[in-house]
Amino acid sequence: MLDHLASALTLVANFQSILALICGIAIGVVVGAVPGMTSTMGVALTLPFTFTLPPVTGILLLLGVYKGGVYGGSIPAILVKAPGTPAASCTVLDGYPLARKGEAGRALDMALYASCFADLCSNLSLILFAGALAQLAQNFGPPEYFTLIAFSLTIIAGVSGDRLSKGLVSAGLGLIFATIGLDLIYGTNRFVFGNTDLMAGLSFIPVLIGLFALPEILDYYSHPIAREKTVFDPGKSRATYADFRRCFKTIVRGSLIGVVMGAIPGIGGAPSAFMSYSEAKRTSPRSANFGKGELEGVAAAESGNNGVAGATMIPLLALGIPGDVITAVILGAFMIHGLRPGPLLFQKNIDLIYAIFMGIALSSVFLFVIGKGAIRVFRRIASIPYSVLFPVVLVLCVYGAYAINHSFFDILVMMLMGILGWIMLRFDIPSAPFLIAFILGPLLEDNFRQSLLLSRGSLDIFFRNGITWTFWALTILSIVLAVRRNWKREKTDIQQQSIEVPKA
Amino acid sequence: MRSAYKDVVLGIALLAISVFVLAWLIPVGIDSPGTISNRALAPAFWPRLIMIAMTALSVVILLQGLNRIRILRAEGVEAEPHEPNIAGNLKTAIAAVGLFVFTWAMTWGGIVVPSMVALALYILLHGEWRLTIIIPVSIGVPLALYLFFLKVALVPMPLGIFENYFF
Repeated sequence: MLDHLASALTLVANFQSILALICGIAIGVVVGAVPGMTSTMGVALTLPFTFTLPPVTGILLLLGVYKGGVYGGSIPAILVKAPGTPAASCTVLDGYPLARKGEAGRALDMALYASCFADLCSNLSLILFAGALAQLAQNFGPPEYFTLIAFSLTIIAGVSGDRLSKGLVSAGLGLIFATIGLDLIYGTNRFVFGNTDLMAGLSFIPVLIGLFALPEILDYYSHPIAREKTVFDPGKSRATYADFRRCFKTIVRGSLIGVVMGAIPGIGGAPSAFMSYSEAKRTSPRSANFGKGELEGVAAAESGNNGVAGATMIPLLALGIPGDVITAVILGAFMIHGLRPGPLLFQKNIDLIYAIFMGIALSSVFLFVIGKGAIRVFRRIASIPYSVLFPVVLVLCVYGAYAINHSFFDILVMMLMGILGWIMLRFDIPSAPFLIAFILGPLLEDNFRQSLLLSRGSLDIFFRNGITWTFWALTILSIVLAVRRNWKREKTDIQQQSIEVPKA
Repeated sequence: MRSAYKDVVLGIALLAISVFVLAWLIPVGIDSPGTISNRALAPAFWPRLIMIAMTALSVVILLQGLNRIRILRAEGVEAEPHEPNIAGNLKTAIAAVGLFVFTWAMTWGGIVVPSMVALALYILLHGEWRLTIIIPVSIGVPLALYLFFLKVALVPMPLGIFENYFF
């Protein structure tokens, strides 16, 4: 144990890893702070820069971007009423009214304190629970993994946005694109059509960059994002220790809500922030002030939002299953470095796991320092014109796509995926399910076929023990709940349309 | 109402694509070995399963769209007036076609110089005409990225016919 810890310390306590973490958080805060750019886009654009880095350094860089992005979204939410990320939309409710009262600095300080505290709690939960979960999964064989991945695919319901059917279409596209290349068992061609570049299948990075960065750039030409004219100055108001103590209970509760919600695949930061906010509003003696500029509201939203960041890594590290789209990207990063998260990683590369834990624990401290600085420079970030920013991102995409395999074919794939992503955007088809299915698809198929080979074609193997039965039950439950929720949403949507639109 | 019409278009398009993949692309594009003991192990099994599900989903989306139109019409809701954004859509189309021209230019001109030209053109397309912004950004960013990949990440970027003009 001590040997592993010492080895992990050498992996993380070096200039390169610390610098990667600091740079990652700084990039994440900037990306999160620019409305129109998402944390996923930030992680996707940073990923190509990690190829030549050691695995721990590369993964810490990406985790830094993720964590920085989650916090960064709160800065424009408070100063310009434009949440940088969807998860920060709850922060607007009280953050912006506080800024209008001239207390932007106080709101930003509280957002930072709540974010860092929740992040720390989330990181601790990851360190405490991931190992135990991985130990539980040590006896999993192909059928157990097949049922687990099938259950994980139901997280698509969580990232499907308003329409489950469109989310499923996106997932179907991801699954079918993942089948391109050589067949895993027979080695025969699938959708290759004599093109040698297609034999290894589509590379993950061009698909990722194409889907998550290019559509926004293309769409900006026809739907420019309106830039807010009023950017409030953080001013000299600060959150005091008394403010923090007053909101402490709310921050702890929000952090716990975030941890629980983050550990469940597919839920994400926004619902967690809103749940934390509504709980705070329900129990606070100042509930009447919520929505009018209550500091506790900012604390609740930000703690709920940031509490998920570490916890989403629990299913990823312990089971190899991404909890959301960003952890799906991080799973891809592990794979690029020849590592497969899951119980085996805990057995064979425990020093690497410990190193990631140490880096993650450090990230909360760096987030605090960098976050403080970002508040001061936000006005400059906000002044970068989109007309320059988006073309620069396009060039960054090209360099990133090329860097993986030194192949122009990858750039072409990225461009085609960008156009597909833009079409999906115009038809309100979410792209997150595509990516999750694209990553999990080969694992699902591989475990399905391996199970059938083990059982000589008998489907009974998928019901061989309590684990598979549990995952089947969870899958069915998850599907039923998603369909029910979707059905209700559909009905409400039609009712709203008939109320809002003038009748003939 | 517009979203309902959009769903109908999407449903029809997806249905056509799914049928095309099932009927032509899978039989032609997937090579199967001569003897397979179990059909579920065949290379075409999984893609076929996915496309059957996609066909069903496209029917669901189509029916959902038609159902929405029927309900809204029954309630007397009119389709909201829609003015096509011709200039915006034209710009997007130019940007999309430009991506392929950019890719083609890179195959002979390398990454750096076509990136400089593309960056300047894409900024112009956004309506930014200030040369004091366009020139430094379009030269500086591709060059900085080239140097980063070459010196820091140790990934050589192709320079194409401009090989002799760079570091």
